[in-house]
Amino acid sequence: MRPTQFPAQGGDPVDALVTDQYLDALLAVGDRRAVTRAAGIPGDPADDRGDEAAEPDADLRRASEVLRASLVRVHPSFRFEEQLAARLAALAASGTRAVAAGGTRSGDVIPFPGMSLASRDDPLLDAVLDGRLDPTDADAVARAAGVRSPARPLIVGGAITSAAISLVGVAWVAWRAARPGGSTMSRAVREAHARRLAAIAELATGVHGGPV
Amino acid sequence: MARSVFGRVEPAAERVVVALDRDRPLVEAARRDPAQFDALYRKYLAQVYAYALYELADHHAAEDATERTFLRALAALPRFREQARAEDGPEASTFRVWLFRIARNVVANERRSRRRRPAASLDAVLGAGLVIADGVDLEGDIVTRDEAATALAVVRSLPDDRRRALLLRFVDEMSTAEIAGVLGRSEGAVRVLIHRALGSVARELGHDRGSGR
Repeated sequence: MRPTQFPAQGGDPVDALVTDQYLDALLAVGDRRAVTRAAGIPGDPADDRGDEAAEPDADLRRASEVLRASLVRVHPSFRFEEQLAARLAALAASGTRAVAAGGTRSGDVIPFPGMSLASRDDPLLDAVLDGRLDPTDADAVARAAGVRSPARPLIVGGAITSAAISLVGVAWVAWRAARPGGSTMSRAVREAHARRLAAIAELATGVHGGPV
Repeated sequence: MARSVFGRVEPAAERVVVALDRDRPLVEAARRDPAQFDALYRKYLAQVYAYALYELADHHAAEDATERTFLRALAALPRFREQARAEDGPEASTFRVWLFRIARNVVANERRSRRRRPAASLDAVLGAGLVIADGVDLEGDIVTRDEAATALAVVRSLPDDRRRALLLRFVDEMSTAEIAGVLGRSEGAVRVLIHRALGSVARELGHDRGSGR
């Protein structure tokens, strides 16, 4: 038997596949006592199979067993089931937005005793009925519900990009301001400017190096 | 103003339908006559409710989420497109995947809005919701009550995708392919999510055994 390591952050895909196949077998068996024997819990005589096939290690199998027994499928109350069935039937029969919103039409209001009005009225149901909202689209549903999506990499990335562009822009402007221009006109302007500064300096000091 | 809601499906959309969805007869019947949606509702009610209950750990919230899920599913049924692939196998149901994507979004919104309205801390709400009731059959001594409680506590503390994948696998007994469809992840990614989640549970159970609880 190939023992499986506890998955760390890396999560070996091969081990994951082995675990998946084990779970397929585990969940396919209806009788949970039979599951325990089939799964080969350590100490169980059924484990002496000499089976060399890959299996998760004993701790992982034990965790699967515990979850199999603990995560049982629970059924809602019969009362809830019938109330919701009636509401669905009313929605199907009338096909109107009025009933979908819990309103009155032909006196066919379906009461939900014990539930708040807010729980009866789904604010997004109208949009689903109109085809404006796909209820399977997680982002669209979160937006429509006014719930901010927890992960906003696009916005964060956009902000970083924007800041980077701004910094590059500042650096470019500074570089351009400091860098002497390369064109003929730029050189002529710089020379004229330098001559003028030199003439002013000579006048100020009273030194004449030549005809001005 | 009364107006029709459940329109006919366009012929072009019907051509997209391929073989393999085990729910196809029920879906087609519901499309022809929305009152027939009842059969799909009865078939998947417990699965959707159980998923919502383990996610929200509050049976009133689970009922609300179940109600919203089925009402939205009925409202959106004319736009449902079957997309089963041959490799999904004979047990594949794209309707179930579609329905659980709706349920996932309803439950996710509820969990997020609870975080925004922390009347009580989420941990407290979750912790108070699910306990191992005395009447629950834990198969005699095969699984102890302590083990079950520890496992549930670990499941509640798992990151969202790992918890969802684990619940869909164990509570709703979905295949990896179906879970991948519900979560919008690859099958390989789902296998790794479940493997890691099981590792977390195994580690905690090992700690408990080590500490003699």
